[in-house]
Amino acid sequence: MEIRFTDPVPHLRLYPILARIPGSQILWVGPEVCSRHGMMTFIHNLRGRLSFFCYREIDAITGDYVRKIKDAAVEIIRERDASCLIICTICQGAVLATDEETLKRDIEKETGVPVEYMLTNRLFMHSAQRGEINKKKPEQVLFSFLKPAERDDGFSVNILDRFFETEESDLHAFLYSAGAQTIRTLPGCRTPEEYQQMAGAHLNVITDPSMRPAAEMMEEWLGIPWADMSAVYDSAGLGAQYDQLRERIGGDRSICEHMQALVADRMEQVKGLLYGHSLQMDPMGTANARELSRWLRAEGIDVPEIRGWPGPGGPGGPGRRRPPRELSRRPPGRGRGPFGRPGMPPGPPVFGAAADTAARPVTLSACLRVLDRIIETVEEAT
Amino acid sequence: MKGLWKYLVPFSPDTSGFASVISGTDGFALFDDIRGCGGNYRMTEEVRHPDFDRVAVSEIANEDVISGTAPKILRLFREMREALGEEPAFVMLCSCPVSSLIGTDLKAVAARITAESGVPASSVEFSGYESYDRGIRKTLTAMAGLLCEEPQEKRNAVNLLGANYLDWAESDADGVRAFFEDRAVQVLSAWGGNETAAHFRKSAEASRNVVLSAAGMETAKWMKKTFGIPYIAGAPFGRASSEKLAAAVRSGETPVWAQNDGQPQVLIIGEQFTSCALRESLLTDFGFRSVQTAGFFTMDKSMMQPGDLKLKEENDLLKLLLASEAEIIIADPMMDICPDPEKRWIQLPHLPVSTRLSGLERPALLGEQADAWLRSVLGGEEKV
Repeated sequence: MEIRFTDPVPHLRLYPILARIPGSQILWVGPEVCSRHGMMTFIHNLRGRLSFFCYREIDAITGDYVRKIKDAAVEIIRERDASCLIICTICQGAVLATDEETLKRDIEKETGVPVEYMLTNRLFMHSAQRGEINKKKPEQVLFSFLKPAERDDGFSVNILDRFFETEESDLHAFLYSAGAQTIRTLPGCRTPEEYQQMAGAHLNVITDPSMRPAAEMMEEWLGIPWADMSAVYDSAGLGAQYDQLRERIGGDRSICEHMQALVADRMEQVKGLLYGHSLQMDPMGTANARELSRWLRAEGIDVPEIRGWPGPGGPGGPGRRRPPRELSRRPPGRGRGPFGRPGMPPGPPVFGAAADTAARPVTLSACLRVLDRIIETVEEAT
Repeated sequence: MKGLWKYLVPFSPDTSGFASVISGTDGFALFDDIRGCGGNYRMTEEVRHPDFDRVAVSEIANEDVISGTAPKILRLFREMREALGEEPAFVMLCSCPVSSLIGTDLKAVAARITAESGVPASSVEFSGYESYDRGIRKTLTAMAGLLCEEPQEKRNAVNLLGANYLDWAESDADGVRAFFEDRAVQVLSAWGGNETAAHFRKSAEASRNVVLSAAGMETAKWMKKTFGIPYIAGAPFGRASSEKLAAAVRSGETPVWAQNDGQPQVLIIGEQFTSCALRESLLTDFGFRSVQTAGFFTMDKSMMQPGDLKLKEENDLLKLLLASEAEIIIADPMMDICPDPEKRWIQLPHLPVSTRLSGLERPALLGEQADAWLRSVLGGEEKV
């Protein structure tokens, strides 16, 4: 029997990602037609954070659009008391060779508020650009408003995750066991001040490869070293990364071993349930479908093919992520929360129907969760 | 500030109006664009699911900005033709922000397509700076110029102009031809919905045109000027409007619409002809005395009553909502940018405003369905 499997993930788009910065405003500039690219339900939820400035064709011809963008930016910053502004530009700006760097500096000078711009273009026309080209990725822009700061008094860590996982996991437990007093994530920052505190961290841990450029930028700009914990659906790989991290900062190896044992145990259960059946992976509705398939196949589970469009994850549904049961166990010697500290603040502001639901599986806890989901699916199907 | 949208998302662009019109025909719609204009349309505005996607994009790249996009459009046409396995009935080309900026000569490309394949081709100049209604308007007129043949005879039949899938619910756009045929009106062609070029070619044989949305008005005027075909305007939504419109089509006389009396009790924001048809119902069958209409899109003066407004900027909407004394507002849910608990907001989703954002379906309004819808949403507000 062929069993169809999906593991929905949030379909985060550019604007909700940028809106994760507390107090930020996003100003999109260009012709009307481009303003509706990727228009999804989140736009309504970003009302008050996202504005559109559509200059006229004549402004593009005369060059007056640059002044008008500046005026629009100043109006938004002042009216909404923005902590920072992100200007999103489009292809026509590239063809016009807009000098965004000068524009950015002019706005900053007039308002005193930091400004970044995002080239959301498909065209770049590099040779025609007069100003310095901002090649920052959205993940870098997220942290580019941080200013260099003194290191925190106690050991503090930022977790940089593409999908901004806020639930506590084995990674949190491990970091606490290594002496971390503060663990920050972007959605955990409620105010611009809390956001700025991320600049004082001793270590950044990335849990997704896409966050690597941001971590490198922060290392260069803020002097924060980083560690890679981005192995996906790979119990052994995650274990190896824990070992590397332990060499750098210490930590309790038993947390990882405990979770690895649970994952191995659950995998045996999955194998037993799937005996004689195959799993058909839906890549549009499953996070990291390829990596998950590879892992399952390596364990001897029949995953004959991934059907549909390949991709890193899909629009998926908003299915709420269920915390792994094992995480509610309190490790010995720890305090109140699941891993010895008060619970993390409730989830980040809701930007979209799916934005804060399922998270990308990057930890051993997540491996466990996906195995639970397979078990649920198989039990329902059989 | 002019052009700054702080609460609303700018509306569906001209290019989407273009795509929507061609998508239901047996022609091709080729965008000379990077990718986004076609993507917009497919993702958020295409409500039909045609077997063969007739909308395609040339996918301009950096080097094309320097070397020109004509070769890509020609290649795209050949690929589309090959994929379809037969000649399209016609081809319409459309410029977009970047191609309009670099000045691609689409007329020359269209001429090359015709010379190469014998397929009639034309182009419309869009820049992505205008709304979808202009896209529909200009595309319909360009198609009429390309396809309409000199009439060999005159027939007692009509062309339906402007019923489209962006302004209307899908079932209304699908059913409008049958609606008129059921009322003993022979329909030659439907411009804006699903139609074939063979019918477009014979359009000039019609004795009159029926303009069903403001976006169809320009084509009606063009046909009147070119072929002398008179036109009658109005949307067949609600008993009152439908009956007057059908009678006018049969008699050839201009319908006389109910007139406002006093301060507006209801404000309708949306496509003009739809708003006017709902006003007709509210004034005639629901006991209201005055209904104001307003819209960001084409507002034809012949359909406006004193107090009706053409909105240009978000601020115009804000001012209107703040100043309006109407107790009831009928509009797309996205338009509710300054909620007032004193007013009753009736949601009439409009695809070019909120796309599928609201998660609501636009109600079917054709014929007496509009009255049924009004009854359901007004509840106890009905005055008669």
